[in-house]
Amino acid sequence: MQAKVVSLKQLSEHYWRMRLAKPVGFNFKAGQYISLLVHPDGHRRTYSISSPPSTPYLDLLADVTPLGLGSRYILSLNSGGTINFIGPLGKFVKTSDGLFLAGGSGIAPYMSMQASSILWSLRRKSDAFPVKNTQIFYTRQRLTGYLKSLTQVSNSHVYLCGSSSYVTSLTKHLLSLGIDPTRLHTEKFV
Amino acid sequence: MKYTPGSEKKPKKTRYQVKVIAGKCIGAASCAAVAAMTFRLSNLNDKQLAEIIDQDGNVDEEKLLAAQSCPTSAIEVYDTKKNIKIWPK
Repeated sequence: MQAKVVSLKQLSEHYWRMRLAKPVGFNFKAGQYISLLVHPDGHRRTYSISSPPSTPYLDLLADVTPLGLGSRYILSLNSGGTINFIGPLGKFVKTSDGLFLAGGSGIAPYMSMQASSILWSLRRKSDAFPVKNTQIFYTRQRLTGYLKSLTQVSNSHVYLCGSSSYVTSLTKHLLSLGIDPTRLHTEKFV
Repeated sequence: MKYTPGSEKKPKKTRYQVKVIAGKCIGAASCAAVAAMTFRLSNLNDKQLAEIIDQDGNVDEEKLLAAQSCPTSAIEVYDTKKNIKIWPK
């Protein structure tokens, strides 16, 4: 599938939003992602859709910190250009309200879901940009301390989206707080 | 013939063979999303990792796309006719 690039906008020091015109007939559920062709030899990178399904465009959120293949490709795009992707992919969709934990660009699916109660972990203050219903944590210690203070957390649905290490370590922490594993929803990426 | 998940028409025999490198897999599940009849996530040593359920579950093109979608290049694709590895390059 192909889509036209509408714009590329820098949201903070390392975070960029790529806005695409939504192809006719393309439908997705909030929380899904696409696999973008980032090199002619076939390399692909996955990006979560950060815009709600009701909008006429597709926003993708990219953290360009690593300046790898995907980041370089996105930064090289110009409005009017065309990208090639497959999707929508993934089953990380909101089944009920709860607590939404994001590491870095893991906030993208929650932006699409228009989630309430987002706890966003970032490495640097310069990476922050405004997102509704969001509290930002710059250290893991502050986040885990905050989670411990929530009395209702063990009865809630908890959504976790971020890097593999972020999801793995917070899953262990949440289970130690008594979260029902069947109420824990996770999505990992590199 | 293009095989899609849920279809009754499964390819008889495919040319590409896939292999999951467990040490590289992070359980991102893009392979299972792209080629759902070939890959699934399974619990291995307390980790959710990709495993192959059927080498001939999807057509070759879908299996290659699934491998190319893997963010850690944890899936290798071999062309059994030419006897070469075609992914990762």
